[in-house]
Amino acid sequence: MKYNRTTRRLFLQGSGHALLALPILTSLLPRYARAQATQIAPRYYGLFMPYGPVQDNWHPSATGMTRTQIFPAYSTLPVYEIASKNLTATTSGVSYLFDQKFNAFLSKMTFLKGLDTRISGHHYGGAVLGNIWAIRPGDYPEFTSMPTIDHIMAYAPNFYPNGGAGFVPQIVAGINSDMNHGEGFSYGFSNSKARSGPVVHMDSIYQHNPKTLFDSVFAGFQPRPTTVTSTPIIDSVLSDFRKIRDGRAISSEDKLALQTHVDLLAQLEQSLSTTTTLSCTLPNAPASLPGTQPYQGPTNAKLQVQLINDVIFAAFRCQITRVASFNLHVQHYSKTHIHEKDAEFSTLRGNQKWNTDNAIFDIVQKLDSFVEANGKTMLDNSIVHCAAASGPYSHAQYSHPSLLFGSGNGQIKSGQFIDYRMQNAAANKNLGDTSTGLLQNQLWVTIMQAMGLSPADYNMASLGLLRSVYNASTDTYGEFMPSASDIYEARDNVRYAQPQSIAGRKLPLL
Amino acid sequence: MELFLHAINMYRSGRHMSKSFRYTLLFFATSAVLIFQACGKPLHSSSSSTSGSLGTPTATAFFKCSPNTIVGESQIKRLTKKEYLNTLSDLMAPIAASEKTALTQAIQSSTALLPEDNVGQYERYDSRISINHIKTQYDIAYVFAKRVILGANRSAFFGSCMNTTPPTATCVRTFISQFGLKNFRRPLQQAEIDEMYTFYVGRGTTGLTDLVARFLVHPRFLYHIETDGIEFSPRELRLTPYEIASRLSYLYLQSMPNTLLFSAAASGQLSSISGVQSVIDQLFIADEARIRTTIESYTSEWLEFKFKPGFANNVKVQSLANVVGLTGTPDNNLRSAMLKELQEIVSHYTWDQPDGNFSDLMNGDVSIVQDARLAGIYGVPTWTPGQPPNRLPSSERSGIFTRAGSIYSGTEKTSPIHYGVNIIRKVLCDDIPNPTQAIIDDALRDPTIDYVNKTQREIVHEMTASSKCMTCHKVINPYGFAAESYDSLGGYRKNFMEYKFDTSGNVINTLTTNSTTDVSINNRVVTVNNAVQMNAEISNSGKAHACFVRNFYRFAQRRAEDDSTDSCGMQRIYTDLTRPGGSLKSMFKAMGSDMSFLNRKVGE
Repeated sequence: MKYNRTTRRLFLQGSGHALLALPILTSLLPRYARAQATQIAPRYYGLFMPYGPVQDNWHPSATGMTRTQIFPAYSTLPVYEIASKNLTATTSGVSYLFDQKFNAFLSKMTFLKGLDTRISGHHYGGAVLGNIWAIRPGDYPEFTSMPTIDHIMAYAPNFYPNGGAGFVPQIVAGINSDMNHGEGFSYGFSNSKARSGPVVHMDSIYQHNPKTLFDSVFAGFQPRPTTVTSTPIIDSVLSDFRKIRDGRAISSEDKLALQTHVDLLAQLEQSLSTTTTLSCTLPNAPASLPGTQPYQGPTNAKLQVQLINDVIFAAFRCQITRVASFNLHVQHYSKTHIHEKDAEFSTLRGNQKWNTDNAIFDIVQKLDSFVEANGKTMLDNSIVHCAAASGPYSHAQYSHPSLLFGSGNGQIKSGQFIDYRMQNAAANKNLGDTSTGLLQNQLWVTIMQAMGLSPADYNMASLGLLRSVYNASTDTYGEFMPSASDIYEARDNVRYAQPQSIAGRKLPLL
Repeated sequence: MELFLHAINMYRSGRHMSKSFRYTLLFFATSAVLIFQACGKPLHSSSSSTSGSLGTPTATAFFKCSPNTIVGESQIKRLTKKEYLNTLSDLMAPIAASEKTALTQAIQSSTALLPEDNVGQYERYDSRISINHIKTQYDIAYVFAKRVILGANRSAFFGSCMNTTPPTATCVRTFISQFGLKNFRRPLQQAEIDEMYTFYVGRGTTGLTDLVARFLVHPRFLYHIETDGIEFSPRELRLTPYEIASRLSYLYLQSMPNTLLFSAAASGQLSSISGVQSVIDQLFIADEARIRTTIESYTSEWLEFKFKPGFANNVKVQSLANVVGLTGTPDNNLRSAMLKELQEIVSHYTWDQPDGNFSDLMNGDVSIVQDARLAGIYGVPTWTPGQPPNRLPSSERSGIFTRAGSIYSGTEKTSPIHYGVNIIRKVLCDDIPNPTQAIIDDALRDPTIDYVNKTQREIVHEMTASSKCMTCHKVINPYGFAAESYDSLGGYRKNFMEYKFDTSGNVINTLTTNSTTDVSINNRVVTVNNAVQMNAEISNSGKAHACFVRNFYRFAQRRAEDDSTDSCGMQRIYTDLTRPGGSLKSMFKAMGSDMSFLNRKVGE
């Protein structure tokens, strides 16, 4: 079957209808009242790129960063300084991968450097979303897989209203060119709803075909109205008019003209004081991809990625789900093993650029195009979490490049580049790329808290899992974390700084 | 009619006559006035005294300045749609060009819903306010506010301090002061800053959006509020420097004050007439492009382009085009080129010809037409910018009212009536009422008219021959007949050839018309051979100069003039236009620094 190149356009047209539906309805809803204190539930979009090393191409320049001492309240902990700066636009962009086209999003971006996985395991699938035992399945049989944060959020109590009835708890999608290395990236309980049973890779809901994904997400779709109560600014504006109307140097004719304006404002106010509902119409479905392979080949990869993004965007808009994770696995893993000095490094760099240009830019643009009832864009109200597998070199388990877009409706302070590696050289003998940093665990906790979860929602111990990466019972080591002696193998000569990291706490400066 | 006019004049000046003879004259005069008042009525009396460097009458001939009057009453007016959109555009200045485009596009659907200003000759007259204005302004305010707080726009628009969450009080207050200045067109008072800041805090997470939106629907933004001046006599205010800056800005730039005007207001330069004159001089240099646009807007409103017809899409018009050698079909592109020429001619004599004056506008023969078809109509080459202007055949055309845009009718027939009415209203500023539909129907139903064998001039004459038509058409038709040397596409008729077509577009008759006519100008009957001569006579009379002054005065003051209180200002401006060295540009400038423009009289 020949692939129909009009498919994307047709889907976008359909999607546009859905997109239009909201503005049309919101135009009935007082735009003037859109400033109401509407509660917008943040969305999460996790994007995993199983490539590396990308660090130098990923992060902005360190020039201009200033140090901040963390742990100041804990006298038992050593001095630990991290570095940060606000992002500012440059002509060519802040980095090779996030070039000038991302300049418009800088205030919504947060680059994170120096976040480590405590286990060395070569290929990090689920590890960047929380299941650090997903690496090399079977290597560490004593540790049980952990649900990844997308799953934990999706099935947390009260994450969706009405017990989640009518919602699709999470979307798991991807484009996978090499299933032989598909350790997976999203894990969850086999009995998701009950949050019990063995933790497994979410194969059961994983979709790579936009049409299949659409059918599963929008099956039985019922528009979900959202009640919005307005608190218009008209009162203040009326007051402005009355002040002038009743002020000096106003003729009776002027008074009459201003009074007409006042009357019309009052008329408008009356129409605003009603409660209004928003809704969403069913978008058109994308056509099926021609084959059944998870990776549709280099020609169609862009289309495949962007159609999946379209479906996720539509699902967010129509309030069907709040959680989506995307496995962006376009090239063969062999490229992962390329090092910076290798001749083929430029190929890897190009592949990485393809990812940021076609997948990341696509989804952030879409999310940012839609203004929600609180006056912010969907991107502002979301957290787009981009993570790469390898740190500074292939298989490196530390300093995974991470990047957040959006703030989860103000929950995260964006517009920064933060390097969590210990900056105070005297306390850390291994500065440079191998400097130790903080644990990614804190990022996962930060995200889950921003999404509205409380520690009880992700306390795996209470769910029968002895090992937890998401919460610590003490303020020191986090006793449920594996100790360095158990599994630490990468840098045995290093005094590793991360025991000072407190897994259950938000990352500093965010 | 001319006899009766003469009688009126004799009566007016006949103090030496016997009483009975004067009453006899009065009888004729009254009869004439009854007719003349209904149409062709001079809105403003004038005498025939002439003087001045251009041979035109002195200002007192047209404007009777009453002592101690400065300016007529004015009402608070809202920003016109054009002013409102220009101001929004200028407010977007801090953000990147691409984002400005995106924001402009974002508000486009709303701006399309904003009612047009089309009551009266000038858009600035329209003070109507409807629920559509209110709703659209709100919509636009929020689209604008939401967009400028996003992404890179945020720091560009508000300042980098606004990227801190939450921004400091100092940061927000600074923004209120700075944005408020642009918005209110004057610095905010401390109490106003406090109120806005309290409002911002009270709105919580949407404070910034709401703050911007409130500014954009504030009466001081949407209206030209001029209430802060010193009341130097009852209901007469001397405008403050910031109010003057705003007036000048909306007069010349059709938008909010720019840096030059705000600075001039802040420095006190606008506190004196000489200071205002100096600022206007600077403005005309620094912002020539925008002022050119304003003068073009003024021209289109003065000549009421909105009523200019399109070309009928029928075989007769096409056949006429073929017969006279016009390439292609007369269409909207041709119409646009014709009207654009009128704007460019005014612009040319204002900016490009040193000391170009109103007489040049009435009599000048330059052609700066770049449209090939229009140049073809004139029989001149197209003009290349930067090159000297081409010249029109002087016996065929001179002045703006002999250009195709002033002449074309849109059909295969000329329209002497429309041309005549335009001359009366727009060149002479005399009044002429519109005929009732019943009168028009009667005229068109006349079965005795031979449309094939009579010229359009003869047809119009017959159609308007009844006494009820002739009341007005005795005045209108002669002005219109002077333009019968042109066809309905604006082309010059060689040998006065007029073509008649059947319904298939075939030429069924060729007639010879003529354009010689007797017209009354300033109460003086003159025989002219064509519109070139007529417009020269009108120009020499000074009446068109006075009318042009009246029109720009209306444009600037946003209202019709009141001769009892506005004549002094118009007299000064007329004097400037007609003085040695006076020019269109100097007149446009003189308006902005005239006492009548720098003061405001509040209505009762």
